[in-house]
Amino acid sequence: MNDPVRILKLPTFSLPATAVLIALLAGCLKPVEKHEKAASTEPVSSLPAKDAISPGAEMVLVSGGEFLMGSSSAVDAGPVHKVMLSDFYMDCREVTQELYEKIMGRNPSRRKGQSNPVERVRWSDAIKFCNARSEAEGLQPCYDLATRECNFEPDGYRLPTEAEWEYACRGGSKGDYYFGDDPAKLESHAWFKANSRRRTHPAAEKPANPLGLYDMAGNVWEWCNDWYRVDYYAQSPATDPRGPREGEKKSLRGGAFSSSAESCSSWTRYCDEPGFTDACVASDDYGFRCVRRAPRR
Amino acid sequence: MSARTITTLTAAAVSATLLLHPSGRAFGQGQKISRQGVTAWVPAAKTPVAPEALNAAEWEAVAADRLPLVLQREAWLGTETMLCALEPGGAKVAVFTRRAERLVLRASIHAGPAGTGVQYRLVDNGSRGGLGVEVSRDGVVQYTLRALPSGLIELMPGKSGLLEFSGCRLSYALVPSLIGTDLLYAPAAFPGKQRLCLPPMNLLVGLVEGGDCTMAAAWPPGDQTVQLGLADQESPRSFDRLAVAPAGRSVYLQFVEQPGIWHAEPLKPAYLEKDAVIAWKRPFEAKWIGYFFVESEDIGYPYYFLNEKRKLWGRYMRSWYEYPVWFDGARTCLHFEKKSPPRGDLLIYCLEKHRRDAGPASPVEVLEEALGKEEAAGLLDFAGIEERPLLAHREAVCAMTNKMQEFFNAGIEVKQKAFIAQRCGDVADFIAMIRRRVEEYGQFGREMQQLLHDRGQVLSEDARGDLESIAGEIEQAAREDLPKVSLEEVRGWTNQMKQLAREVRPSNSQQYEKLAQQCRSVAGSQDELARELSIRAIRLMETAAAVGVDSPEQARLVARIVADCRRILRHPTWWEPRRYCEPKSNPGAP
Repeated sequence: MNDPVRILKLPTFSLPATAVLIALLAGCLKPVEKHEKAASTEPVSSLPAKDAISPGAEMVLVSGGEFLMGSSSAVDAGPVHKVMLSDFYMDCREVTQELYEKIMGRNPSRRKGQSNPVERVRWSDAIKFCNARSEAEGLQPCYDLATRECNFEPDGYRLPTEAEWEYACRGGSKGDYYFGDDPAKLESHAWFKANSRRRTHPAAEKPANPLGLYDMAGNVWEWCNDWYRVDYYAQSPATDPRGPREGEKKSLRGGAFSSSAESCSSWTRYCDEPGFTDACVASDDYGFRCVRRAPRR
Repeated sequence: MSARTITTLTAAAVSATLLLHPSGRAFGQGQKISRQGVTAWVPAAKTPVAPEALNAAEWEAVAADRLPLVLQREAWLGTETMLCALEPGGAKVAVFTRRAERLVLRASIHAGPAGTGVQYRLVDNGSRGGLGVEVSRDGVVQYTLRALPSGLIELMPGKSGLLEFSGCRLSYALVPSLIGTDLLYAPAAFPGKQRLCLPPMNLLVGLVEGGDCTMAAAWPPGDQTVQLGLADQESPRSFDRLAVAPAGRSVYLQFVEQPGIWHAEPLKPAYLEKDAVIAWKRPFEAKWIGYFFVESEDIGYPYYFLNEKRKLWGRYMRSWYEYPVWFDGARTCLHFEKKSPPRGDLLIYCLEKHRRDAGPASPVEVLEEALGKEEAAGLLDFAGIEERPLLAHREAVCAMTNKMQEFFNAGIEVKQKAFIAQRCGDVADFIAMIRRRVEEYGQFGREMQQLLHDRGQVLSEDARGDLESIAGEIEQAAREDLPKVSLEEVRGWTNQMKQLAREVRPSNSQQYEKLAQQCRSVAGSQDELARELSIRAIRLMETAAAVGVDSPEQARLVARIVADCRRILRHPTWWEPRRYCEPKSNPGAP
């Protein structure tokens, strides 16, 4: 990070974002009640690049609504159940190496490339980044780094819940992928085992999903905030589920350059150690993207 | 002289008449002769093979010092655990396992053409112990069947060319490989095929239907060809024939019967992400193996059962994970993770025991007895399993840099200067060693590409393409995925780290941390790359075994590829899969 002071001086809400909030409150930008509406072909709104601290940091406002979460195709993805979510902002792209290095001062990635997603980040690294990014933009951090607890109230960056991630990934689709059920089409939409040549690719090279989110399938697995539990869906709350209270592993979503087509589906759940005590480097296909609380309607 | 008696050759023939009952009829069941735990029964009349017949009191014992003896009819040859019964005409031998009051037919050996004019001669096996029957026709030895005291059967080919073992009903066949992975053949993987040509790699293990019997077949190095025949109509199909063209060398065979000697556990989704206890219990102490297909790595791998639940970092599978199979006392426990889900069944079997007397003969013991310990050790390559010595203190870069960080954080770096200097040198050496290992894989990838170019024509185009692709990936990954940092740069970082320990300064800790992170990043990438490359080499040997089954020529090429893969996989680094988990761990030991 060359000039941390400049970044720290950024306002809590950038002007366009504030405008979006005002627009929402005024009803100018009609809140999307149902998911079908959220799955329009244009992003509902975004924090544009010029106000972000670096290219690739734009966010999309994902309007909340109800959707069917999970799948009967895997033991940990069922039962399929209804979930209601509040609005939230989500990074359009996986956090890039450039952004990570600007915030954290180092780039842990195995396969270097400024526009490629950062990888070899543990969950514990990802939450440190979230807090540092929040502080850099003058937002309130969400994580207590001592307890690793997430406070969902502050306006800063955090990792998405699994429900938020899947809702955003589906973009209104009920299929295995946001574009339907046919894994043969995945090569046009994602970097995964069949086409990645065993490496990450620059973020946003493949088309975005209907919400304007890139690489929700493939490239790198994305850490979520939730603890992972196989049978969580059987008892998860219907509104804004935030994962089990405790666990040993954190959830990852979306598949990676190294993954099979199935692992890149919207419902596939994956998990790994958060890396609290592990001294060694993390996996080269684990990255993340951030979300932020959206202003309440 | 009655045709129902055992008679000796030449001079001994006179005394042989003494074997007759004074009335001139044969004794009850017939006669038997025992040597070192092996008994030959010569029934007095055509008698069905049955436990009662073997255990009957009416057999007349004949002293073993009368050997060799000409037999006037087909004999039974056996130990307490097995029985071979020559069938009329001498072309076939029925092989049974024998346990308590039970005989179970395990296979029929077709060792030569049936016909008349067959002569049998009972011989002793000399220093190997036990008894044998030499089967001749018109004075030409067709083959010799030998039963050794351990229950091992040896078939010494004479004129006969092909040895065929039929009716063996194998659910799985394994070509064990203590380096890399056991090559597993499952009938379901070869729909539509009637036979598979296997790499003739000296030891073949069959898991017999039902889970209470295994077969081990062994032969010395030579030009043998080995084929497995698949049953036509059964569901599920099994391998019902094993044919070995022995190239003039003996073939050894042993069936071992023991309830639970192998087991296939369907891996239910409910087993994921938690400790599960399965009903199967080990029937005896051995180095039990849990073999399953690891979807994330795209290989089947044999994991030794440990004697404790434990976590591992970066070996076999990447990053932290729960070791998948272990014993908790008598309980058999599994833990499969979401990130490395298994596919298909968990196959449990053993190749080795800790002690010879702990249970029935293991396949490794069969090979050792068949070929001698020294030759078997060379073929199995016990020495190659040993981990590559890296550093005397057995610490990797993470552990070394962590320890030094503590000194810098505590401001005692000057006091620990000597330790830091030594560990900094080790960090650089370690990184150089792993880089060399990666480069070895690169060379291996190139050589394998050349081999496939030169000799791959015997394979189908698809099969050759699959193997070339893996060999190419190995070569490419070793070339492209190494961190683009020179060893001189690494040495420069470690020298700077050393310099920081000359004087205590507040900035030391932070500066050290940055340099250590750089070293760790390079080391971590290389370590993981070494693991990935070894996984690819295992995948190469497995793929070769699966695709090169259509002709003996293909099987010979597969044997060469497997041997080359074993060579590169020898002496793995810590991150590469290795058949024994940890030096401290004694897999499956009581």
